[in-house]
Parts: sequence; structure tokens; C-alpha cells
Amino acid sequence: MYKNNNFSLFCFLFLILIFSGCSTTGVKVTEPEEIEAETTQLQESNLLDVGILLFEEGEITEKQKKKEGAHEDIRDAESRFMAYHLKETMQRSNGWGAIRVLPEKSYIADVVVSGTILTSNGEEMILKINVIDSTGQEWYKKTYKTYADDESYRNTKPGRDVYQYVYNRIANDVRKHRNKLTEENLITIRNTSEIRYAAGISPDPFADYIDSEPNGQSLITRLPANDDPMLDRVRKVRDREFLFIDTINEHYSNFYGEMWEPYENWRKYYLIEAEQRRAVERRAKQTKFVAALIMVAGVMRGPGLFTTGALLYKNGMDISEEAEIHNEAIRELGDSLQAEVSPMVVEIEGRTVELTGSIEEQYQKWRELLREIYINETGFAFDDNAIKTDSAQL
Amino acid sequence: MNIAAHLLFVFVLGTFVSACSSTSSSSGKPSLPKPDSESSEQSSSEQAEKKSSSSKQASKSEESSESTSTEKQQAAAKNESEESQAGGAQTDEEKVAQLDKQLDKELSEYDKQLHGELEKAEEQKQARAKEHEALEAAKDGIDAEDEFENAGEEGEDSEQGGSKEEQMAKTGSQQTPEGSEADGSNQSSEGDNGQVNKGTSPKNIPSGNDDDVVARQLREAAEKEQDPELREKLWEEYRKYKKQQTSASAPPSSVN
Repeated sequence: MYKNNNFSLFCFLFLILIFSGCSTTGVKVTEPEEIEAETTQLQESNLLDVGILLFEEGEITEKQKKKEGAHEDIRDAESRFMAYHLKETMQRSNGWGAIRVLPEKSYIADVVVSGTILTSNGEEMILKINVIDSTGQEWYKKTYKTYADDESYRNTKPGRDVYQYVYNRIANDVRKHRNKLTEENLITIRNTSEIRYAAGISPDPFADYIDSEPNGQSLITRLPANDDPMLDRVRKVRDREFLFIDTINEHYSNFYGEMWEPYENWRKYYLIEAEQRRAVERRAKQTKFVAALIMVAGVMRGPGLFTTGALLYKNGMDISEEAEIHNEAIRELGDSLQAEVSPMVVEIEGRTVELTGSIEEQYQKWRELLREIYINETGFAFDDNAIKTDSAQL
Repeated sequence: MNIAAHLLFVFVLGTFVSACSSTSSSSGKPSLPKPDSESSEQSSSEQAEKKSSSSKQASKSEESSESTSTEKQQAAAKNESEESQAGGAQTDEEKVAQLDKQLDKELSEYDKQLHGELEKAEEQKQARAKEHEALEAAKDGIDAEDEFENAGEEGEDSEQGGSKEEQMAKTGSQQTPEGSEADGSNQSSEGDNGQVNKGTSPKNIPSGNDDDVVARQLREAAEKEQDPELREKLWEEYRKYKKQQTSASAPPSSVN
């Protein structure tokens, strides 16, 4: 019997050692990936314009709100910050035409990158990225997941995010896909984006040039002459939309610059608090586990050991309560960032709405003028509803 | 003399009569020679007729010119109405040209609007850059002040015979002044591990990475304390507390 008790105690101690080792879960850090830049100058006809839509804000769960201090306002700010940072990163690969952050869906770009923020805090980021070209062909859809540790924050500076390697990976992946395409594919993509835009702003002459397939893809049936006067006019209007988006992007650039420091600080201190919380939780867990084992041993060996186990368990409970302090600290950090970025978001949204409103008003005028010009040139008249439908799609 | 005068008169008269008869025989109708006034009247009537005909022609031409100008006016009015309705010109080509001009005008107006907006954004960027520079300069100023103050304190301490340990701690804080701004618990002062001492803690103080609230408070208080004796007491308390913590959460060997 005595031997059996000794054996049980040995087993308990062995288990304690095993579980203590298992519970020390480290934060996984992926290897940094540098941006792959084009070594040769690409032909103008091969340069695709990229549009990066403002990232969508994934649903924030109650758990994320409580444990990560996640806020809708922070996500709202991140949706601009991340899209703009991806633009900055992609520009370093030198393999693209103009890269712009798009405030909303548009036919203006040859390739459109859209992203959804699933998780974003100081120690983890999960992004879902979807890339599609103007023909409606999906290039790829991927979920990128990464972690940060103390080391990750050593090399951060404006322009180099703590999750820079994820942005680099996205840029490299998009570039790799582009490199798989033939020159003919690239020209088709460019033509399609131009004709789709033309059909949107001036459907009378251009709607017939493009067919929409049931699978959502667009197919060019024919092309207008390169010196087509209507196409020239549409190009003039398109240039204004480029200018409009460039103007919006200037505001995004300011927003990005302003947000950089508080956002980076938030993430840095978040990681510190999260690590401390994890350490406390781990310690509490270990203490409780050991206490539980001692209490079990105490049941078999005597009340003295049981009492020690109970005291130790209480100590574990106290340690658990300390974790709540770190949770509170994380929430406070979130509140602080939210208070800082909310006015910035309101300002940028206001500016965007104002500019978008002005261009929409202009669009209406330009559409009417283009239509009138076309009617006078050709003598054709079209159904008014057609233009309304097409313009609504733009 | 009188006879001669009569004869001359008769000769002249006869000559005149013969001349008149020859004239009437030439027209085929016996008629009296018309006085100059009559002939002048005739000529004037002819001129009048000519004038009237010419005036008719003129009036005709005037009428035609009037009708042309009316047409022009009508056309102009039509054009105006068309212009007001469609912004076009007389011909389709002209209308298109007019509309093209209008489009260009609209586009250039929009360009101006956007350029104004771009300038605003640029101004904001510059203002932010200036603000950032000013902030950096202010930070540098504060850091320099801190360094100066620390250097002064160090001098005082050495005069007062401060411990070597304390002096080393201060030297550490001077090397990384930004550390004092950060949360005390965030500083890595792993003197035991031989790593760089970032905070103001002495060398034999363990890392504060796993500090709980009490330990953190003790650590922060010790780091901020100016009085060397009190600071040393606080560090002592911190060491004791950490030891207790370690022994409390130690694996079974401590239990057994």
C-alpha cells in the first residue's frame, strides 16, 4: 500500500513536470519576407493599374472586444491604414502602373485588391485578401496569418510596419500571379477596364462593346478605333476620375501619417500587456494544476498536504485575478487609440464624402454631355432608362 | 438799214421754218417743235420711271434682303433656342463642337476644384511635418534637460559617496533616456543575464517581464524614487517579493 502511494506521488510529480513544459506556448513568428522588385523596366503596355479597396472590417466578436480591446472605430481606421500601407508596399516592387486606394468599387483599375480584417492587434494579424482583374477573373483568394513578438517591434519605422512581411508577401503573391499572364492577357485586361469604364460613363456607344458572362466575367466583343472621338472624350473624363482618386489618396496619405505613431504604440503596448497577461495566466494555470494534484495527493496521504494544496489553489485564483488587470489595461489602450483615431476617421470620411459628392454631381453632367454629343454625332437616340441603369452600376 | 434788217429777219425766219418742217417730216407726224421745258419734263419723267423701276428693283432687293435678315434672325433665334435647349450650334458639327467646348470647360473647372483640394492636402501634410519636427525638437530638448539634470545628480551623489551600484543604475538611465518615459514594467533590465540595462534598476534586479501588479508597483516606485536610501529599500522589498513569488509558484520540489 505504501509502495502504491509512493508510486502515485511519483506519477503526479511526473505529470506536473510534463504539463508545466507543455503549457509554455510560445508566440509563433514567421520568417520575414522581403519585397521582390522588378529588375528590368516593364513595357508601358504591360503595366497594370492597381486599385486597393478600403479593407472591410471583419465582424468583431464579444470575445475580441473583451480580450483584445477591439473597437469598430479602430477597425474603421485600420481599413484605411492597411489599404494605404499595402499600396506603399506594392509601389516598391516597381512592376505596376498607378497604384491607388479606392474609396469604393470602381471600374477604374485593371486589378482590384480587396481585403478583410479578421484579426488585428499587437500580436496577431489575420487578413483575407482577394485579387480580381477587370475581366472578372479572380487571381487568388488567401488568408494571411501572422504573429509579432518583441523583436518585430525593433525595426518598425514609418513605412515599415510590424507586420511588414505580410504586406510583402501579399505584394509578392500578386506580382507572381501577374507574371504568369501573357502579354495578350495583360492587354485584354487593360482594354477591358477602359471599355467597362467607357460603358459606364457613356453606355450609348460603348455598351455593345462588352458582354457580361453569367459567371460575372466581362468579355470584350470588339474595340473602338484608337482615335474614336467618343473614346477620347471618355478618356478625358477617366483622367478626372484618376485625379479625383489621387486627391483622395493625398488625404489618405495624411491620415496614414497621422495614425502611424499612435497605432504603432497601441500595438507595441498591447503586446507587452498581452505577454504579461499570458505569463500570469500560465502561472495561475500551473499553480492551480499543481495545487489540484497536491490536494489529490493530500486526500491519499493526509490533511496537511491537502491544506497546502488548497492554499496553493487559492494563490492560483489570486493570480488569475491579476490577468484581469491586464485585460483592463488592454481595453484602456484600445479606448485611448479609439479616442485618438475617431476624429481622424470622421475628418477623412467627411472629406471623402464631400469629394465623392462633387464628382458624382460632375458625373451626371458629363454623362449628359457625352450623351448629347453622341446623339448629335450619330443622330441616334436611346432609352433614358438605359443610361440611368448603367450609371448606377458605375 | 431797216430794209436790210427786215430782210435778215425774213431770212432767219424762213430758215427756221424750213428747219422745222424738216424736223416734222423726219418724225412722220406734224407737230410743233416742243419747247425745252417740255423736253426736260419728258426726260425727268423718264428718269422717274427709271428711278421707280430701279426703286422697285431696290425695294425688291430690300424685300429680299429683309426676308434674308428675317430668316437669319429666325435662324439665330432658332439657334439660340437650340443652344439654350441643347447647347449646340447650327449644324450638327457645330453643335458637337459647342458641346465639346462645354465638356472641356466643365472638366477644366473640375480640375481647378481638385487642384485646390490637392493644395489643401499638401498644406496639411506640410503642417503635420512641421508639427512633427517641432515635437521631435521638444523631445530632444526634454531629453537634453534630463541628461543635464541626471549629470548634476550624479555629481551630487558622488560627492555624497553614493554606492557604486546606484551610480551604475543612473548611468544606465542616462544611456537610454527614452526608457524613463516608458512603462517601468516594459523595460528590460536584465543585469543578471548580461543584457543591456535599459532601465534605472540595479544590476542584480531580475527581469520585470513576469511582474504582477504589486511587483510592478514596487518596481516603478523604486525606479522613480530620487532618494537613494529609500530607493534601495524599495528595491529590497521588490527582491523579497519576487523571491516569495518564485517560491510560491515553484514546482513541487518546494512543496516537498
